[in-house]
Amino acid sequence: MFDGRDPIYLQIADQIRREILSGALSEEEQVMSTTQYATTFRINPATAAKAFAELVDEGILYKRRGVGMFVAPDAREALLGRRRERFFAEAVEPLALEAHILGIPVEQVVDRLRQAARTAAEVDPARPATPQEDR
Amino acid sequence: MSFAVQTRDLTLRYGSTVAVDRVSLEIPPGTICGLLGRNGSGKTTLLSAMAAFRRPNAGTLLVDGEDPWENARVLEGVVLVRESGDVLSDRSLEDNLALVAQSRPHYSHELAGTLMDRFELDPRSKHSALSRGRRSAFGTIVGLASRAPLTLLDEVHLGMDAPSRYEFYDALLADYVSHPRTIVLSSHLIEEVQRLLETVVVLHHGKVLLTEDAETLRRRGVCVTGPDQAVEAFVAGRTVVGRQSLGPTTQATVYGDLEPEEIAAARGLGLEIGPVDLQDLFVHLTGKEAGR
Amino acid sequence: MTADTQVAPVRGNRRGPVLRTVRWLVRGQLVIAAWAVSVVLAGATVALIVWANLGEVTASVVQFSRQGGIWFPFAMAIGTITAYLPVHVAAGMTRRSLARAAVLAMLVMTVVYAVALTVLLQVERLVYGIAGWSHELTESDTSYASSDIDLVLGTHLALIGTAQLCGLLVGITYYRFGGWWGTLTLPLTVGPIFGVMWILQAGLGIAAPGLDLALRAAVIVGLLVVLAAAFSLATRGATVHTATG
Repeated sequence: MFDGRDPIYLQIADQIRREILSGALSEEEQVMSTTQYATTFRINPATAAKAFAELVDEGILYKRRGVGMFVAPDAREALLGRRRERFFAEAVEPLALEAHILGIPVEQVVDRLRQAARTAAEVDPARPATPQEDR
Repeated sequence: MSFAVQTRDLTLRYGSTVAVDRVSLEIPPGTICGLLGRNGSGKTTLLSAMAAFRRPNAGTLLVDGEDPWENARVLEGVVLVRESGDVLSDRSLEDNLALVAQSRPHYSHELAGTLMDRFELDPRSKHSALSRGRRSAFGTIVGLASRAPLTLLDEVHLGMDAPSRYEFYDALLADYVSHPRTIVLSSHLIEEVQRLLETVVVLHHGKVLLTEDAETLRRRGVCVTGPDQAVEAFVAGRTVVGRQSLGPTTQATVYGDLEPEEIAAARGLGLEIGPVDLQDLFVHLTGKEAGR
Repeated sequence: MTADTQVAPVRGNRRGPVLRTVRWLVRGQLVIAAWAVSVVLAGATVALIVWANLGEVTASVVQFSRQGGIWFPFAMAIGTITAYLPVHVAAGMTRRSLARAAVLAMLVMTVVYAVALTVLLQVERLVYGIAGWSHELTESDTSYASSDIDLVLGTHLALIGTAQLCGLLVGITYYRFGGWWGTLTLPLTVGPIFGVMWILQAGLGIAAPGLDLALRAAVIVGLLVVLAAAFSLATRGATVHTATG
């Protein structure tokens, strides 16, 4: 757990985002407290608090005084929206650049993408494929 | 209740040997601070001064705003546990705990009892009859159960085996969370403790090499991997604390803040950028040539 | 001094560190003292039986334990202060409170040892009276008889008290200044015991000046005050070493 080389609070924040995206954490559900996080994963509570602070700033979590942290009602949508925005910059543009360098025609790339999208839909027909965590 | 520690130009000598050399640092109240340094870097001496075991030769030292030397109010709230123990070795553990209990205002019998069970210590055994690991475990019990506003643990966990160390980390965190206080953990093995820490002070040859927020410190080091020339071009003018070459590929550990644009630029040059481990950074920083 | 008075009101109802430490020290020492007195009692009984079987008993046997009564508490005081100082400071208490507590505990133990020795001597005198033996104090050139209980007790108090204060002083000198200074200063740190023996004409066999009782008592009390002050001063500046082992 959290053995990537990024700062731990970023890893914690990412993990919570991932859980929201995957539906493991649903909206209005309470998330673990900083102290639970700290003791469960043997990390400094301040580190866990930093991750929560980041998510609160982003509007993903909100605080109920004296009760704890909860997933914001539109958290999943917000995360998906942000992912979609980043998708073109982070996935499509480098792909186009790489295809250009390798001399692969755009049509061929598009064909391949269609094929891959069909496979993805078969694997999880219930909903449009969620982008994989890219970290 | 948490005590802060502030030092300014604090100096401690043994005869002509300077163990702590004009150290100025601040430990914020209520944090878990890692006091890191190699053996002989002055960690124990510095902690001894904070607990008034030893009187500084020069400079100022304030614990909760006051000089701790012979200060009854402050000392009641400062506990320093050293591997050597500072216990009555010919007395039973329960006698020793009784002494601690009556002198520590926030002492918790309950916590002591739980930990005695968890570390499988018999209250009736004599301290001198314990193995090194069990003595260390007993030391941590004294340190934690005292619930002192300033708890100084000087490499106590090193004598314990791995399962006991993790028991100790868990106990430390759990009790810290329910009873926040200032905890200073000194160690030269930081792999295991790094995530427990909020701030870090690195001592080297009696001087403060750096004092920083643990997360910031971890982000301060960057590992750059890529073709020789590209790496060299990127690291030029930066503090390189380590360099490894493998054929045409070089990996350099750079110390210092990098702006996101710089990282993006490095990636553009085909370099791989990754954060370094605190332990790596520490080894680099306190290596032979460092701090001279 | 001032720090103590400032701190005192804040402490509320908790018993102060000095009293707690006195209790702690005395409790530990009482157990040892009980053993020591039992050993003396058993030894004296055996010696008396042997002597009575060999010939006529002419002097007190218990009086010879007076030397033990000086040097045993002396050794205990050395051990106590050196073992207890690091523990006391590590438990979050000041050296000042330890210095006071150690002197107070020493006073209590002085009374315990002196009374025990005196009682043993008086019990022996009763036994001698029944057996018809003469209960002489021959071990020293004492100018009093074993029936002068006040003088016997006073002598014991002075000797044992001095011995224990000297023990504390020897212990702290070795602890704080190390082996060289500890040894070099022995004439100063142990000397007072011989000085008091000489003043009391007890156990040295050297003729002492014929001072009157009040003057002797005053000199001894003055000496004890100086010893206690020296011990306190040395304790309050002591560094707690990095213990080995």
